[in-house]
Amino acid sequence: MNFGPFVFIGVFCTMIISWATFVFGPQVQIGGVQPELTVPAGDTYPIYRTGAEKRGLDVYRVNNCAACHTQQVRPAGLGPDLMRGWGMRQRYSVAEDYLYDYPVMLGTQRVGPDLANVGARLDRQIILNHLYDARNERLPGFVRGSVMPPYPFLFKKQKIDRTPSPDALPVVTEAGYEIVPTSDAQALASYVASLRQTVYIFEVPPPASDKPITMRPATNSPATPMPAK
Amino acid sequence: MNATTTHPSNTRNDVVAGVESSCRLPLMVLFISALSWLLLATVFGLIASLKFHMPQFLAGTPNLTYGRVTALQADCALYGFGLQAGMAFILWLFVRLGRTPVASSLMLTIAASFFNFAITLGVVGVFCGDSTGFQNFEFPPYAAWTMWISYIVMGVIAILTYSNRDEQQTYPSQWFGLTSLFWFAWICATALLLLLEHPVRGVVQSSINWWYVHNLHTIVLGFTGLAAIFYFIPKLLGRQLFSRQLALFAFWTLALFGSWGAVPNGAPLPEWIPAMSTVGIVLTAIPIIAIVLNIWQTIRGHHERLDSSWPLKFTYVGLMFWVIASVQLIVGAVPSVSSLTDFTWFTVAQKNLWVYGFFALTMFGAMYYALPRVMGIEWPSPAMIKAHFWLTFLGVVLSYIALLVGGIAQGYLLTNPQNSFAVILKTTLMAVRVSTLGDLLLVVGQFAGLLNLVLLAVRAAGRELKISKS
Repeated sequence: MNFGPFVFIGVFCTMIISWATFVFGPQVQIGGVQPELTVPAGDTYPIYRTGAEKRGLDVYRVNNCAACHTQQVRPAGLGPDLMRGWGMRQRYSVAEDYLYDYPVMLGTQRVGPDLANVGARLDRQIILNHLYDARNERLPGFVRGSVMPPYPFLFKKQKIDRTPSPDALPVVTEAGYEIVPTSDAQALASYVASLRQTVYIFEVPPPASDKPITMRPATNSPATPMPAK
Repeated sequence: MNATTTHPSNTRNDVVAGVESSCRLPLMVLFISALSWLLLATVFGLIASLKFHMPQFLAGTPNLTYGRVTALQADCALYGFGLQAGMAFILWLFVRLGRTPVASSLMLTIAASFFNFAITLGVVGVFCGDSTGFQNFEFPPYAAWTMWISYIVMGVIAILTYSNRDEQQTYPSQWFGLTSLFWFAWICATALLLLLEHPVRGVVQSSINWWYVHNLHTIVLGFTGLAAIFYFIPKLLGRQLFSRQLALFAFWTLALFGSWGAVPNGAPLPEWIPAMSTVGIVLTAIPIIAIVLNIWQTIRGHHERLDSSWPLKFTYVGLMFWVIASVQLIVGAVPSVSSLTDFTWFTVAQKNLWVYGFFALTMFGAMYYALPRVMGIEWPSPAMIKAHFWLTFLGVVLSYIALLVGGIAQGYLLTNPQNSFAVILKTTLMAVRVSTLGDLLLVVGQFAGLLNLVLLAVRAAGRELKISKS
């Protein structure tokens, strides 16, 4: 007996169920999400990345930084992320945070720390130092025993022209020369420093203690943006 | 259709041998390139692993950052090896079970060449910084499209071969094989259109990416491996499959639930999406039990014969790895466990076991059985088959156990905010070291496998030459 057509139709149905659930469903629900207003400040969020930050995302993608770094803070109870201080002020990641990213690189491995909020934790110079060599004790913010590979190709050695460059790293090199970040390194550092999910929005309203006192305490409706007085 | 349909018998052996020789060239091309990509994948894996002990290792070369090398390892193993070895096996299966020659041997060989061209393009693309940034879907659009189109051509030839079949009665393995072909065409088209051509916004990309990766593993590679298990275990034991109904039940439930997502719990998506994914993964326990029961009943009383031939050994060990990896996937999907194990070596261990343990071993089994019959030549070196088996087996087991234990330790240590990342890494470094040893064994094993295969090809070519001269 020829079961071919039955197999085909059956397989097609199972495929459609799975596709509808994980491709079509999410697209219908959140594919058309628009930027929203932060709570309580009322600023537009998220902000579209431009210039160096946008280019930095490409450097991040090309070198596949996501192989070791995630960019997602899980809610309490689903992981120790908040406990480790990766989510600023108990704020976990939500869909809105990634609205303008392409590609979205949430990552699957944490060989290094989560970067969803790294911009709020480290300043740009320390990020640059880590890119040059995370274990170099001459560089502020070094991490002893880190396995983060150095990225020497993101930096260049140049001759000091009268005064040293303000971007030069405080590392020893040949006399008369200095190590400065390339534009790729600058872009990547700008992008990484721009990673911050620190504002409260509709999906993740501020915890009770952070709310302005003027707000009515018992309400089921989410906090609405209020102009600061 | 009764419960104990006989296993496709080999009564017309000469006819079968005649039709099987129709796929000599394409099968040889597919298997040699598949094993070459696998060797390359394991070499990339070894480089990536070494970078853990020596972060400066090859650090000066932008093309060889840890990120790129790990991405290339997965891509070579999944596409270069996985899809090609799978295609070769499915084709041979359709030819053998359908007792019909391959629909177009020449077209198939051409499509296979294009497929390899596409993979090369993709690897060079990622190498030179043209990666898409989507996990396990890093090939740039031009390479991914070429790959998809040549896969479709090969798939159409396989389906034509299937529908030309002389033997109308179908066997569960054919269903698994067919589904695998359809599935890849579908998921890859979805990923191409919605991630690369008309990208969806925000985290919908991640949902599609997770869905794609999960389906590529569980359905595309998984069903191919299961087709081999359902064919070879009864066949080589000389037994009937215990229950055809049970096999079909497992087929449908696995196609239904096995394709749900693998979205990590706590992902920044609406909560129902990871929840549905967890439900689907947990429900795959049903087909797993059905398959284990079915094969167990088939083998019952004949365990001593499992040792009788290399193809059987490969397939049987592959089945055991499938069970372990599937169960681990279920355990790791439960929220209380995933809060510890997600984003650690635990998930890497599971994926490696799936690809290098379960899938690769079942395909090796198929290759060691099919090629001598197709080519009419024995394997040049039985010792190398043995080496291939043991090195792969030991490599997979070593690296799996090390990463599993390391992953669980990493998960526990992370729950204490007092432990800094460097301290956690130091603790798991021993595990990573052992896994590097496993990676090394894998490289040597794949080298032995490929060498044996190339020697077989040389011998076959020599014979053809002799025949044409005389």
